[in-house]
Amino acid sequence: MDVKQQFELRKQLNNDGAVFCYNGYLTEDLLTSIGAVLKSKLQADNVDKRQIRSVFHFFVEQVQNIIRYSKEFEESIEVPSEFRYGLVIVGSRDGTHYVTCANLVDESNVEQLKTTLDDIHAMSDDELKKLYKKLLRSETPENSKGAGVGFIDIARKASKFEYEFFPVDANSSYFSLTSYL
Amino acid sequence: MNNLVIEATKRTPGINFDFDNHVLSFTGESYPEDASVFFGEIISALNTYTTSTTSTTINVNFDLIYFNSSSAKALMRIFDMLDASANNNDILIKWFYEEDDDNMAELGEEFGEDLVNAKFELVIK
Repeated sequence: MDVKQQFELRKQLNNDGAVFCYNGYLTEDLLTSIGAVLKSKLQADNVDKRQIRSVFHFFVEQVQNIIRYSKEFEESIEVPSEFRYGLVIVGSRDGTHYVTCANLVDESNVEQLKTTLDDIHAMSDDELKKLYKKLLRSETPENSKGAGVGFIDIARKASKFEYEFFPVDANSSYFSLTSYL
Repeated sequence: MNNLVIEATKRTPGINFDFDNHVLSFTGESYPEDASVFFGEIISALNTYTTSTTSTTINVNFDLIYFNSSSAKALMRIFDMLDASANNNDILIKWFYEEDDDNMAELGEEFGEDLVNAKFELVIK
């Protein structure tokens, strides 16, 4: 990327109100460090304490999704599950804070992930609460390292959330999710 | 049984289970890499304690600033265990929150509303 391209990328992010953008390998330590910087920056911008807590929550849930589920990881590293590749953008558009996280997912998981998200997206607050509690009390699915309730949690707290998938090659899709405060 | 004390870290809560005085406390933030691993030891100690204690007043304090959804799952398990033990004990759960933190109050309420036997109280810090 030459200097002009770099500047264009920066300009595009600025136009999108990005406070922060990271593309690369993510770890839990990075999550904690970036989270602290994010909180400080939002405090400096005089963002309401409640809003800061919510943005931080979306940030943690979504980044942990990348760390747990991104298809891209460094195989030579001993614990690849804690070292995965993704994109994180936190910003503010038209006065609304948003958190975008994106990563590659295996094509074989796309259908199920999409169905899960479609179902959650269509649910009322009451339905989300019921499902949330049900999942908190159920056994964690085998392929899930979290509680499997992260998306429901986001849906309950966000004013809205959007997601998209597009195929990258025969085996992978690019999955992006944005939650709005 | 031995008391259980775990120092808080940036993303794991402080645990102080004073079994001698029957006061159990959770403090700080909770978004560990693997919540089931972190809470495994805690849940196991709690299970031993609650199933071997009878006719006792037990105070449980949750003073948490933040927890993620996988920690919520462990907390739900802990609430259910405490409620089951409240058949044989007098259990009072206090859920602390900062005055302006409606979200933490709501989360507490949601755990508290399922309790049948244990007493539950929301407390402003």
